[in-house]
Amino acid sequence: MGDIVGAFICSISNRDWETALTIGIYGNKIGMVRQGSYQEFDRKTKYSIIRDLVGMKAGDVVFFHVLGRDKPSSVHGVYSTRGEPFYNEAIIWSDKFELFPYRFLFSPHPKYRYLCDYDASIEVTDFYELIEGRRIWSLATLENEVNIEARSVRKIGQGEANEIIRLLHRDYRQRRRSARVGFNLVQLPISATPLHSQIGDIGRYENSIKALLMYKLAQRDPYLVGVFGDITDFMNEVFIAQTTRKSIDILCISEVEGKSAYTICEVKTGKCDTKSLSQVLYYVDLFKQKDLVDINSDIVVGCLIGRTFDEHVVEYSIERNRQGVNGPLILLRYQPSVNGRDATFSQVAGRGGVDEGT
Amino acid sequence: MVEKISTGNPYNSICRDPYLLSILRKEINGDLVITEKDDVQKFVVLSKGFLDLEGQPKSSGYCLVQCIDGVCNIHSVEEFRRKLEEITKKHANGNYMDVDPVLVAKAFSQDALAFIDSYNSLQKRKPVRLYTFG
Repeated sequence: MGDIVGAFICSISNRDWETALTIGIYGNKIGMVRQGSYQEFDRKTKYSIIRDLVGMKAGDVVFFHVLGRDKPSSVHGVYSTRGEPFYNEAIIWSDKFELFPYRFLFSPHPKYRYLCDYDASIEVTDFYELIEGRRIWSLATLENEVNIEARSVRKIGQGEANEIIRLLHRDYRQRRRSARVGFNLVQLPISATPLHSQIGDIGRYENSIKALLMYKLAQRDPYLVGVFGDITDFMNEVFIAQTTRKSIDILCISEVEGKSAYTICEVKTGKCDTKSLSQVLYYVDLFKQKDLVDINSDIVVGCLIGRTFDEHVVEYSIERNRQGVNGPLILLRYQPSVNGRDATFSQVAGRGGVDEGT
Repeated sequence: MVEKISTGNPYNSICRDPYLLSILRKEINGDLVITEKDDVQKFVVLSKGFLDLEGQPKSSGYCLVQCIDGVCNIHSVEEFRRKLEEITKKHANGNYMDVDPVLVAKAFSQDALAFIDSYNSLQKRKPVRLYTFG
């Protein structure tokens, strides 16, 4: 199996899009203006930004959700990433406070250079029609809502990316610039540090361990591949029920003898209790009812990831796996290492029973 | 957790008249029609129906009842869960909230009871109702 090609949608303001597009660099912010003064995000939020970006690799597909101030938002594409995401504070954009230091480089996707040359886009309302029609199934919206964590970078599935590419081609005649974009791509600055080196506090914040998992999945970590199978795609914060805004922490997709296997991961910082198990079991049942799942052939696996597990959770999971009904349940224990910058994993329960871990 | 019903042959009773025992009641379960049954494994699938605003019959889900002549142990529970999965896929597109599972047995082993107790509290599905007979 070759490298996984991931796909992302990144939000950016109309003001910053022109610079980003021309030089091929995207940055996510580190804080926000509140009541007239600029405040950096807390650690939990910073790790959520890293979590969303760190699963990115060179050659991944990227679309940009350009937020218009006086005009409707639009989705632009198709671009591909040039290298892995990084952290850098060099001034690129002319914001009074914000450096947008969580970054990645991109360029026109080699297959769709013609679309990028004229900044092809679709209206965001057309994108939402894909959500309504369940052709986009991992997202509920691109807007920031009061009860949902604000995010600027969202990973989507390969099939979903193809749907957006289809619309970009459909509307290309109407939704393109008249003048060619003058690309002048910048290179990776010497002072840039890999984004994964910013992951810390593992064992303290849920977003830290999620960020590490996203990074390791992108790197095809051999242990995780052993647990989740030969992964063909993976995403985080996937909406399982759009109306109730319930989301899966991490979804791994693999192919087993022509069937799709979906592993639904629920991540806890500390102990996984019966409430956590109940949650992942519910998500498995909900996911099986999605249009994309063939309940007669596809496999849906539940996975609970935490530092420790309630005894009752372990007993029930082992017996449930022994019975082999309704798909396996994986309990994956993590142990922080390298001063909270890394972690080792071991299976407490799983398809093949228990193992010694990494 | 386990209710007792007074009958010597629950399977025959349900097949003859689903409302004969106190397991299924017309005012709660609606109009019941047997859609599937297996005299060897002694299970029966009943469709629950109601009349909509226009007076047309509509389905409101299913009941799966299995009767075990002896003791229901953990292996019987496993088989029952397998059947429940099959029926839920076949009739309810995988939605476990559409199927009411019922197990009737002479007695239940401790491990079977413990597992079903956990299942009922952990799964957001229709709970497995348990009955003894005889």
